[in-house]
Formats: sequence, C-alpha cells, structure tokens
Amino acid sequence: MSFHIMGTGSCLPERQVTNDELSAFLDTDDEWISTRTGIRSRPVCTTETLDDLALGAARRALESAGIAPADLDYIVCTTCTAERATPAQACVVQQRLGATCPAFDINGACAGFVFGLDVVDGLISAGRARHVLLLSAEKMSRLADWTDRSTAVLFGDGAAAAVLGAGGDSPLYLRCTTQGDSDVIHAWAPCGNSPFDQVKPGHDEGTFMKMRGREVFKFAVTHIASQMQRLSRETGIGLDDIDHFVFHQANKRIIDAGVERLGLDPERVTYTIDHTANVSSACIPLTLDRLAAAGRLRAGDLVAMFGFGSGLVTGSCLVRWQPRLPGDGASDGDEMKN
Amino acid sequence: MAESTFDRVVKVLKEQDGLENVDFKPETTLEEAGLDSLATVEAVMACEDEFGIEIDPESNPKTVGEFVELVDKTIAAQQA
Repeated sequence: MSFHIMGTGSCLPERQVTNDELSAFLDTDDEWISTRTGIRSRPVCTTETLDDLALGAARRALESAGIAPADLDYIVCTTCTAERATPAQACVVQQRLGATCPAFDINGACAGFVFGLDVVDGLISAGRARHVLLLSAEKMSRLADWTDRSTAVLFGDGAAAAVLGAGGDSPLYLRCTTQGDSDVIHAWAPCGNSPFDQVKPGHDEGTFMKMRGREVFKFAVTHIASQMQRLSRETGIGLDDIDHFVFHQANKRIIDAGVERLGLDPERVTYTIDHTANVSSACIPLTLDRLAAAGRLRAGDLVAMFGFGSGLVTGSCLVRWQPRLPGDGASDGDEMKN
Repeated sequence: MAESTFDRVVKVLKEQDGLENVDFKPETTLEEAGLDSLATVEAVMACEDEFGIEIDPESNPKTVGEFVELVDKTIAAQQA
C-alpha cells in the first residue's frame, strides 16, 4: 500500500452536443441513442484543444490537493488520443504548468487510469516519487467517424486528473489484465507517406474507431462481474461494504447489466454517462471528481474502480478515500527531484 | 420428461426485463418481442449460463427458432 488520492480535478469542453443535434446529420434520434446507451449529450471540443483541457484538469487537481507544480515528482498522462504523436501529452502539461519533473504518457485505452494507478503505485512504492499527477485526457471526437451512427454517438472529449501522494492505504487491490485482441476495438494510426512502406497497415480502413459492439458488451459485462467478485474475494471485503463503484462509462446498459449480475445497490454506483458519454480513460477520474465535488466522498470511504476497453484490457482497483493525511500539502525539499 | 431447448430458451427470454408476458413461438422475432441488439446479447449470455455453453458473441439470431437452433448447434459442437 503506497498512496492516497490527495485531490481531483476535471475540465470539459464548453460545447455539449445533444442527441437531437446528431440526428440532424445522422440517421438516428434521441430515443434510439438514449435507450441503447444512456447518453443524452456529450462534450465536444470546438475552440478548445486537448492541451487546454489537460491543463485545466491538472490545475484543478493540484488546487484540490493543495500542492504546487514544483512539488510534483512525475506527471503521467493516460491517453489514446493525444494531441501529438510526440511529444507526450504529459510533456505539454508539464511545460504549461511550469513543472520540472519527468512526464510521460501511457495508453491503457479506456482502462488507462487504472493502468496509470498501477504505474504510479510502482513509482511511489519504489521511493521514486512522493507526489504524482495522474492525468487522463482524451479527445475522442478525433477518433469517432461522424458519418457512422453506431460509433459517433458514443464518445465525448474531456480531461480529469488526480494527485497521488505517498502514504496511505491505497491501493487495497489493483489488478490489470490484457486479453490480447487487436481487432475487437481498434483505430489505426496514420500510415505516413513512406515510399518504402508496401504494407500500409489500416490504409484502406482509415483511422476512425471501429468496434464489434456485441463482443465488447459481452466482454465488459462478463468482466465487470468477474473482476469485482475477484476483488472482493482477494481482499476479503464484501461488495456490500464498498461505498462507491466507479465504472468506465462506455454504455449505461453495460453498467446496468454488471450491477444486476453483482447484485449491487444502484445507489452506490455512479453514472456520469448521460452528459459525458464515453471519454475513454478520463471517465473514471471524471466520475471520481464529480463524486468529490458533490461532497459524496467521506474520509475512509472505499471506492472500487473498474475500467475496460481496447486491448482488450481491464483494470480493477480498490482505494480508500483519504484526501488529507498528516504531512500533506507541505513541500519538504527536493530530495525526490531528478 | 426433460424440458426441451425451446422451453428453456423461452424461460430465459421471459426472465429478461419486460418480457414475462410475451407469448413466444418459434417464429416470434426477437425484435417484435422487444429485444434490441444489446438485449439479445444479454439473452444470449443468460442462455450461456442456463446451458453451460459459450456462444459466439457475434451470433445474431432473429427469431426464437433461430435462437433455439443456435443453442442446439453450440451444444452439439461443444460435445463433439
């Protein structure tokens, strides 16, 4: 056990695109989308860049944690839709925050935040960091095919972050899995224009997100149930004793089906999907931030998280909500700085 | 007498939300019974539990009869 979540923050584009707006150019309507997905509107970048959203979420998380950019030992950004292929999104945030620590991205798809927690747990456990900004920033509107009703309606843009501090009870459980399958959910990277590349993977398909919905649904529902049961079994903590369940917000019906299989009290399951849609790895920290902002997280609460997505990956984590521990907020020198 | 596959599939379908009073016949389409694509996947998953089998998630039966046939074929394939 190595860390505690000191604070959270999020930042969404101002523009909310409603289902009715989508029905103006897609063969769909509000009733079709909302009954199949639970989504009523989604935040979509118009004048904002992903850099702006990432910076906004980072600043709010730092403010919530009560620490300065100079106190950070690492910035880790989870994303599959970074603004640039290089440098990493985290590097841009580091620059704009005025921080001096190392910064890098990881891609754990929609489970990225939990994969990020795993990485940060390692950094803190190894004594290489005391304060880490774990940021999830996604511009899914970049990957969505806006001519395809089966995927365009599902996604949103946004960023959310958490500051993790050394010490504390978390993670009480952390398990990431990968069931390698590069086809079920995928989006090709651009081919480039090498005159020597005779393969050009994905060239004919383009770079939009493609997914086999039925398979994703089955994978997600099956694994929500099995991984949460495993979390409970391995920690000896009953699902009834967990105060909050924060699941990846891909589709309300996936969450509903998982909740039903597990017999969870729906009051303990937080849904944000109706007005955020699927913001990939940002869903879990965004939901955490909404809970924190609403004052629904009390010190000592147990929060279970579960992410799933392209890979196929899953990430399960159980943390204890301990926003303030003795020693938090005070910068005590540069011994961690590289 | 053991329940037929049809009876067991119908029992599973009736356990889905809002379908308890539907009069299922082999020719009943899942769509007219009120199952959309995800509800069909949920019903397929419930049948997997009922029969102890694993059905290809991309299977997309349109009628109760096709659903029963899918279950029977899967059972036969997994026993082979």
